[in-house]
Amino acid sequence: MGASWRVGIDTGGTFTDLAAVELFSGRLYIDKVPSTPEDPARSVLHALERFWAATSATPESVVYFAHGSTVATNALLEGQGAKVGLVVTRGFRAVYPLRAQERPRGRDLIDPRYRKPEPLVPQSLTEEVEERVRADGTIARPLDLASVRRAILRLREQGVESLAVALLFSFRNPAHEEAIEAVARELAPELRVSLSSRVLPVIREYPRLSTTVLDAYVGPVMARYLQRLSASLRQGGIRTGQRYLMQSNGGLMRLEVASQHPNETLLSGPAAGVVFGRDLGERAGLENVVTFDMGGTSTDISVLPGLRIQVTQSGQIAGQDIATPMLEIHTLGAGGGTVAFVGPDGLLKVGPRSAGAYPGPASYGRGGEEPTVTDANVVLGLLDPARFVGIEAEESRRGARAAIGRLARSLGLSLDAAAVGIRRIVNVKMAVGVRAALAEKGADPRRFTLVAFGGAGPLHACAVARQAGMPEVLIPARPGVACALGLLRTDVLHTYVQALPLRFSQLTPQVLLEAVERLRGRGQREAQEEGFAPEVQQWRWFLDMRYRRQGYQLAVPFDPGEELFELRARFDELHRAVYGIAAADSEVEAVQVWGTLQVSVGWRGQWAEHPAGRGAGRTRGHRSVLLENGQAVSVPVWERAALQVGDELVGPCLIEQEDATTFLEPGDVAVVDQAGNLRVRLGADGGRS
Amino acid sequence: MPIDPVTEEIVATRLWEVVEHMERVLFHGGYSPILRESFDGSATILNARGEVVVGSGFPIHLIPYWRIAQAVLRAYPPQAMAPGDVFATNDPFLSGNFHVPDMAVITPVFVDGQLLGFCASIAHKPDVGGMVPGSSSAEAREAWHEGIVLPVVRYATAEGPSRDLEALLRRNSRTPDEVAGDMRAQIGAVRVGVERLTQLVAEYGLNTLQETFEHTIARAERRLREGIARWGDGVGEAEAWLDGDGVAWRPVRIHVRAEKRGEAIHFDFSQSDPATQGPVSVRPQATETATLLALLGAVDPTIPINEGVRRVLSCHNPEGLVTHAGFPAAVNNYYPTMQLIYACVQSALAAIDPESAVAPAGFGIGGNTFGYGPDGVQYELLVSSLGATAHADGSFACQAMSQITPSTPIEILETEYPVEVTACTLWPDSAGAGTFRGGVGFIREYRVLKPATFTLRMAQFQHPAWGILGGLGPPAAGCAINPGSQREERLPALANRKLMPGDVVRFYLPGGGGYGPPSRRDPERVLADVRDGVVSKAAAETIYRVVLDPSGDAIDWEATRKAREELA
Repeated sequence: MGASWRVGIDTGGTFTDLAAVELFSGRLYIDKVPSTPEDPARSVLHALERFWAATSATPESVVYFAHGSTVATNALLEGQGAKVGLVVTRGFRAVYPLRAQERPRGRDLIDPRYRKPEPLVPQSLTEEVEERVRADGTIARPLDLASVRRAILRLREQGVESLAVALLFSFRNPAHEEAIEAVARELAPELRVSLSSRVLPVIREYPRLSTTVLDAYVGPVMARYLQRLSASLRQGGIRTGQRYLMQSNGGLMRLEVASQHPNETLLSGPAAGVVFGRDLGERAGLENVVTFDMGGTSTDISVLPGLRIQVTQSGQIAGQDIATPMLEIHTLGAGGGTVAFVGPDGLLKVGPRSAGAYPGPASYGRGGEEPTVTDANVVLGLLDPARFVGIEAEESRRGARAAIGRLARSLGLSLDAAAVGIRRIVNVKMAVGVRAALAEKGADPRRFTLVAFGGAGPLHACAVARQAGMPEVLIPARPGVACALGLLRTDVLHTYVQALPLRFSQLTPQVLLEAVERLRGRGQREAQEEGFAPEVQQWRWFLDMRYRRQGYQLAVPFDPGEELFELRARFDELHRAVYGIAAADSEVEAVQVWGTLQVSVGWRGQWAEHPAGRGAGRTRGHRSVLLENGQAVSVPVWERAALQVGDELVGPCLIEQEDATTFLEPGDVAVVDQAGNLRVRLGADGGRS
Repeated sequence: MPIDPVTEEIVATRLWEVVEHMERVLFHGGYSPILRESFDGSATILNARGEVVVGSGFPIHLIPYWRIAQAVLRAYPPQAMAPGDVFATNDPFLSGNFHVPDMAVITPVFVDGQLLGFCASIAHKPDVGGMVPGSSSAEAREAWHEGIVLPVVRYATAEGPSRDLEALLRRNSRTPDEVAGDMRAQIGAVRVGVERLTQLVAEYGLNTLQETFEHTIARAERRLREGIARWGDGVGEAEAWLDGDGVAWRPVRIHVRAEKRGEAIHFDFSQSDPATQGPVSVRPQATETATLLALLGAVDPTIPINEGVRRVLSCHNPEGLVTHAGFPAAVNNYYPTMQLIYACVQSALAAIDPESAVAPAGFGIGGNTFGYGPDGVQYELLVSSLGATAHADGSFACQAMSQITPSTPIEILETEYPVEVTACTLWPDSAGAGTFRGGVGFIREYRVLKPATFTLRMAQFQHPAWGILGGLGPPAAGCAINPGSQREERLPALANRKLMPGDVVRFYLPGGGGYGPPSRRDPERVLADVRDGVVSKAAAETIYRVVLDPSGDAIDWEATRKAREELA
């Protein structure tokens, strides 16, 4: 029997990562190639070609292919989406630009110059049609097809590529939206159509509309990309039916159906990393983890109490609101490329702006002159610039020193003090971010482990976790390719949502069961299209509940057929756990029911990452580094690849590997576990005193 | 050893974390929807003199904290305070509250017997008694009409809330559970603040914290003064009228004269009208807050609002004016007046530094209710749009000074109440025209399906906002019952009506003021506005002097040039 490979390819802004595992031997192959934003499929194919060349793998031996893409996200961030026409109920053209009167955040609140994000569809491309559906789904005014035809023709004339249809109460009765789709098919078959009753059939007109517009905006771009990618894969000989795309909800969907659900990939970038972190936690026997993914421009933090992935429906991307179910991830403007500067108050500030990949940190020698977190780590001796690509170590150090030196002078600090300051400040900010994410879940940091990855994660994790009050850090064997590895571990996951009549007292078991059956029917139909047999499908059900008129809701898990009073009691219990109080005598609302359909396709096996080194007896030597208290100490530098299971390393020390550097502070003790992870028990103060 | 700029930044970051943590406890722990959903609350850390160091939450609360803390210190000097004491007050006269529904709590932070400062919180209560539910009645004529007033009282000790005071407060509210529950949330919030500050002292030392407190204040003051110093010296004046005070629909004048010299700026309100009988006059803390927020908005809204900013304030605002009502005036409807003072100060500053000037936002925002008896009470908070600047059009549907709350979705309204929303649409030609125009206004319309009691609490239906530096003003806000029918009635800004099933209520929410002459607006922008349906073709030609070709879809450049030359 020949080799069988599972392949995960994650396309990021700078690099495209490939991780592959051979199923019988557990052999792992990992590679990084530069991304090609102008034609993202090219870097995917490039990574595959290198994979064939470096291993015995052939396209025919690939039995599973999962892909994380930022094509939709980039189209939105760069304003390169389709020209969209919007169709709304007559009299309601202000719903979209009103943006629910949401208040701006932070200091924008008092800024009279505050600029709201521009809607993706201007008023001149917004058409009203004569119709009205009532709250109970009955028709108040029938759809005037003549007004629909006029609207579609006008939009087509103006060169619209994609149509978003978002009528009031279409989630109760989609007939009018579907009729508009039929007219569009007839009059303008080239138009892509997104119906709000299909994209997100939930109550609240604005988030449903905004999500539908996003779907229409990125849809054509996504479709073109997936077409090109699928064709290339086919030509390249990858014949497996198991080809998947990563979604924002932490699961996969078939590549073939992905162009129908483009909004579901918009926040998928960091999702595979969270899946990876959960998987690591599970294998390491941890109960609660926080994933900490620190890259070049930002840090993504996700709290997983009981290893449960948290889902939210309130997201924002490039200023646009999106309500597609997505992983709850907090993003901070803190990464290796984050810029340090003197703030308007005269104090040292770090971030949130980043120098990005280009020009990047001053120490990369790509023309960057602003001091960054990476530059500070170079000056402190924590990062060895000999590892940087395309620049001599000495020149790199000079660049870092010059940039930080300029900043230091304007603050009246020494070079070393400024570098220490940048590191201290960015660590405090990340610790504050971790604590806030934990506090929002009512979680106790002392019971959580920080799972740290991303290119910069292992260098900052111990300091951040200690300050956040967490006792332990886990650093995986390959922290630099977490998302690609996560793709190998991910299951197919579809989320189906259906609005309910709201008042819990009006909800009957019958109504709930009907909603469940409707969703189940839709899910099964789609799963069948994807080729999944009913017996591999696993359903989970949740009822989103809230106290009457509360703005936020909680997802209460249930089994279809359960008594409603049990759900009510479970909601009170959950509310108490999260917010510390419950109001058992208050009226409750059931906002929506949702089901997740999971099909287990992720690989559960163990890859051969068992450290096979010669033990920790040998170091690469010593290096002088500056601690956070400004003290210079000489620390051993270990080679990660040379470590063995059971090796114990005592901080302060550095552990270097190809894709990351780990720093243990004084008092920290790391042990290499069976899977090759570093399990770090944190010391009390990390040498701060 | 003086504190270094790195440690100070770190401690300042941690102080922000503390107030944000307090805020989270406040908003999540609260019982009433107004606190949980509208976020009408705030949290602060004050120094030992009762001056704000760091504050988070509803920005307009942050200036009054100083007066509140001084009132607490007058009633209970530090030696009379014990760790765990929580003082409460909602007194607009003895203390610094805007009106009685805003309840303030404040607790000392002692470290080894030494007073480091205070943690405090303000939150709006759903009801504290008075003439009407919600405590804010247009009929109020004196303080006693507006609900229970707590002078500074020791509401809780380390043992917990005072049973007597809690009982008293409950007995004086139509929503006893929510009021008592929200007070507990506020107490929880300030206690968290004390706990977190105590940890910070353990981590960084008392001196470092005290020094950071002082520096944080001094840095904000310096930023604001330096910003003012960048303007040329000069004088600006502005006046505006309230529609009336609810007793008589006779305009009430607000006047401000701003004089800027070097890094100082002085505001004189003494030419404003005398205080009114109706509840639209304000206490000086409202005038101070509006003035400072307008000043910060012009100079740099990223400057933190703390004692340093307040120190820059120099006001002549004698008692007895609408901008400084004395005891026992009714002051519950302070918000529209405050917004008018804000717009006046903005315009006075525009004369001093046109480049940083911002035209006023549309006037007339307010909260309205439809009471359906057993079917509940529907609240509608509506906003206007922002004014234009030297470089951009004003934002759509965004409240000036600070924004409180998102609106209730149409689909939720229709599901929960016997009402049908019949329009939510743009209001053409409702933006103040200008080289840059204000944000566009909009229209919301409702049809009630059951009998309802409608309470309108808006403002400025007679006196709209204005444009600056040659820009034009938007129209006035309005409210009409059964518009376009024979039974149409235009309402004054404060009104109560009984509605019958089928009655339609339409609100007109105006756009913002314009900046600079409309005839200098880029014709392409005018064309885009016409295409978007927010400027009519007629307005394009008469106001903006942009002539469109007969299709209405292209500019007739030659005719436009002529039309604009004629004007010049």
